[in-house]
Amino acid sequence: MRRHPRSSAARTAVRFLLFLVAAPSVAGAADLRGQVVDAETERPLPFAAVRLEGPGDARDILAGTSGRFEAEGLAAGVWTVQVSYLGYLDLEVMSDVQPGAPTDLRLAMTVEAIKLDTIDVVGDRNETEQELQTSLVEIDAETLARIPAFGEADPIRALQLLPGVQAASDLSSGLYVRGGGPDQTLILFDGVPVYNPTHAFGLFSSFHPDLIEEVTLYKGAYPAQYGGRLGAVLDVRSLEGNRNRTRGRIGVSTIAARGLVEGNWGDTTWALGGRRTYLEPILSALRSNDPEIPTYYFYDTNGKLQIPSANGSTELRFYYSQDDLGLDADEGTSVDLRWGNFVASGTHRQLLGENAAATVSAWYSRYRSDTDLSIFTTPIGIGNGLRDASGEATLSWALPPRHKFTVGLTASRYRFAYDEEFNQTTNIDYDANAYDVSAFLEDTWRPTASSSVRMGVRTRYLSDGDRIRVEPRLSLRQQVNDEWTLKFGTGLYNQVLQLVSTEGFSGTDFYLPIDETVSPSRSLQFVSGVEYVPEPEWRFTFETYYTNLSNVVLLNNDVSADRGATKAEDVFRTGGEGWASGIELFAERRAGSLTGWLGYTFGYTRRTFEDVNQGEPFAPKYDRRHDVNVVGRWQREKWEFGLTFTYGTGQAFTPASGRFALRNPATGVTPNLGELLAADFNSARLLPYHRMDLSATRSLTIFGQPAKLSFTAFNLYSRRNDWFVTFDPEDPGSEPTIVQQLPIIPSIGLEVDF
Amino acid sequence: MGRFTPIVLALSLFVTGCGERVVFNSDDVDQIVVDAYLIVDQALPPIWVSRTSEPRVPATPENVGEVGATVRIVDEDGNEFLYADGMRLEGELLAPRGRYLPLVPDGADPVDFIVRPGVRYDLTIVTARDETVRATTIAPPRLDVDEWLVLDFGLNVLSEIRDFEEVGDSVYTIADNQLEWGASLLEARFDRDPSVPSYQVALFSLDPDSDFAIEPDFFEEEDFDEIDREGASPMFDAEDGTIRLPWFAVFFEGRYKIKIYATDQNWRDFVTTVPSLSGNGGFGQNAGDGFDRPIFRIDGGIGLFGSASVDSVGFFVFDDD
Repeated sequence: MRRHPRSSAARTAVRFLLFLVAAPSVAGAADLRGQVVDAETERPLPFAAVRLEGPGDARDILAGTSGRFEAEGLAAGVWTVQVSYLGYLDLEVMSDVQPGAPTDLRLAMTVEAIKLDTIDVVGDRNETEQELQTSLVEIDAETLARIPAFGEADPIRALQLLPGVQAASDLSSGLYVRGGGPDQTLILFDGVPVYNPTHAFGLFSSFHPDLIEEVTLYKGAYPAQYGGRLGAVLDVRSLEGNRNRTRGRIGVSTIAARGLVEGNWGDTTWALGGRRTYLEPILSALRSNDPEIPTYYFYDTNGKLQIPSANGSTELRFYYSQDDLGLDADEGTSVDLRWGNFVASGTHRQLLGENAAATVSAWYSRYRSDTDLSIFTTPIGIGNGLRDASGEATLSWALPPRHKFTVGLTASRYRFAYDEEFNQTTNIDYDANAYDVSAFLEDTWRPTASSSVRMGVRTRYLSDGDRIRVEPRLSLRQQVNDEWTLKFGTGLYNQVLQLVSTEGFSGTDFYLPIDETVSPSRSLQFVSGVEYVPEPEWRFTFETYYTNLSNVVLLNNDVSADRGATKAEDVFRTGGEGWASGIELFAERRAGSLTGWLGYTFGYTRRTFEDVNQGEPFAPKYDRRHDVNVVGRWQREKWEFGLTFTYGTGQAFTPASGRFALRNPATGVTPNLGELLAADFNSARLLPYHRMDLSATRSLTIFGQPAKLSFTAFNLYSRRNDWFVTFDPEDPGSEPTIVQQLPIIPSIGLEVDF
Repeated sequence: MGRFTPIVLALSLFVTGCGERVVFNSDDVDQIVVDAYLIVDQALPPIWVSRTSEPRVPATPENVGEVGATVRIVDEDGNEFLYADGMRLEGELLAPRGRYLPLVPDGADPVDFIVRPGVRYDLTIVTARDETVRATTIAPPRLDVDEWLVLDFGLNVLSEIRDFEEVGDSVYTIADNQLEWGASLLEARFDRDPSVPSYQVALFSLDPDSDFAIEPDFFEEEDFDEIDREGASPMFDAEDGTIRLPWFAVFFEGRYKIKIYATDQNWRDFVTTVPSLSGNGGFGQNAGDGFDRPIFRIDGGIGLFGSASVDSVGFFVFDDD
């Protein structure tokens, strides 16, 4: 491994921090694994360079995004583990690796006082890619924090910069993954579903950026341990807590203030954080002159407690978010809109001998949205909620040398509530329970050292309709040589929870179950890919995907104002079909002073419903032909710069193809100059979208504490991208209105660690 | 050139970003438009026939009215009702283009031209260019509102409004029909016929110079100018046989007339899918998805051939402020 000259000279502080953490053995004897972390913050250091020298051949390994690495099949004996990472003192430890349970190291690195100007390539490529899964993306907290963001760092906004993942607009944090809508992505927080994790009407997510350790996105063909969605799975993992001392961070941006505290009581670790807007005093002052200024605030808080025990650990977690908008206008007109999430969960992990481990979890996740309007004294109320109470158990055991089995059982009880009231009349009062019991079995088989096969099946029982669904899954990986790897994945997926989501106004999102009147939606996915890693710091991937959809549903808006429909066949247009296909190119530089990625997607998406577009296939709004994303991060001494550039060809919209004259049959009045006639649905395209964001962060100290001052420009050159087209139906002479998206929005933020 | 290729490619992205959105096209120009609806217990109405124009061209009778077409209605008993071009009957200078009037032969019984409940009517139009348009409607059963009630906000009955059958045009002056804006709820109760697909309410302010009953501070002056003296509700299912009037539909003081329609399926589908009538584009959609093609149920053209039965009442609104 070539070393930077300065690191060789500075190889001084050798710290022996050996944390032997018992962990399930997934393979045979003489295995070594570990995690590289910052000694002060305990944060993982992604892509740290690890070299092993010992009784056998030397190995060079690049740690993953969570700082974890693994080496199997080592000769028994004492190995020297050498770790290097930009900006940190090199670390060298000795470890006696013996057959049996894998040796697990926690390697804590100390920040180097002298900043490096550049970093050389960290070594010869001689590692195997440990990740079997196709279409898997992992982003660590450090990367998330440095992507230029609108107001607050946001994991979901960061994911929208990846190939195959899109945003519908600047005002939406919904994930549109490979031609699927946000309803097709399962969002988990520490393994627990969260049903509407958004603030500010979808402008950004409600995940506290400082409390996130890692974000993992399965863009498609996800494994059998997950289920319930047609497209993708997003798993957000929170911080575990500092094992050494109590520390914290406070931060303020143009939108909100946030705080984080983490620490330990002996071996028990804990972390607690919160965030809240601080605009109310300003709005209140404005409201004294203009009562029509609305009130608005949001806050979120979450915490985790991890309690180790003999050969195991227990985790307790909670998460709470709330948004509240209020407006009191004149003449009995007012708006009160509130929505939020609450999650409480617990997990116990236990080793069962050398080759087996079990996990038991339970959670309660609740989403609730309430809208109370009064329009000139006429009251209108809409409330909806979803409660998810679940228990889950998994058992993993290794059958050396090639197999690892995992079985699991999840039982969920959902309670749906939806009520609509108009002018003192209750139109809908829906309250229903549904059960979903899923069992899965998975085998990860390594027929050779360079190939892996993950076979799984997930079987679900759905109480609504008394249905059983079987969902097979398959992933294949073949490492051709040190640089090239081939991957393939496929799976069958079913979905019964339908999310009805409004772009740019997520506070009224609601869930409805598919009941016995409609078949569950289904998707069949195929993904194939090639990965090329010529050097540890570079990675190139090429992937293709195809998804076939059936029994797709669409909310039916052509209904009476007082419809009391609660059956799925009355609420939705049903029997839809669709498909999505595309290719993705991804080039990533993962180490060095300049890191980042370039992503390109070429894709098609189509839907067909009997009652839409006269039964002809149409493109959903978010069907984009080309999508390009560039993300860069450059570090120089006390400065760090971030840049993102996004380009996408135009989204679909419906033009007008004629004008006609028809009276309103109830009043006998003809619209002045006729009514516009819609052409084929979504048959035209908006202008291409492009935007550049820039951030600059300066490291400094405040009262002796490390701090960062950041400046961000969202939409640097203030391009007013198209959002959607509206027509004035009564004035043929007027041009259609092109509603535009956000202009340049500068922001400033400060965070201080203590 | 190789060195400049990335720059050219990057610039080309911006060039393509400067393209033009096509918000209008001519794909549906010159289609036949039918505008006709039958009201139970009323005479066969005029029928409007026109064509679609370019999106930027006003669809006025002068621009789009279709002349020279043959229009007829046949009921389920085989009775045929012929229509004549109004311009031929009333003269080109008096009659608007595209309006067709029922021909009542000398000696015919006008009762035969009254729309009957529960009867099927078939419309056929043949244009001067030999294009044929067909449509069918089944007139709903009669609607008879049993009670027009005034309720408090706890839904307790305070009083009953008198209707035209009881007091005629005195509905606007008698004490029972004097309503203070926003002080109570007005509710219609009727026997809901399961064969009726849907109901709709229309509201008419009959005094063109009456004052506003409400003047919210958040309205600009142009907002007041845009408030019409007539309006219609979206469609209601009214499963329990009640419809309640929301006060946000009442902007003026003075005389008001309410009509409640029991509509056929064609009328219902038309109102729920025409954007200016339905107000669609709300929850559960991507922004801009509310603009969609209406349901017309016309074979060979677009438009509405529907039917309804109606009941109505009048009252007087005052503002006590």
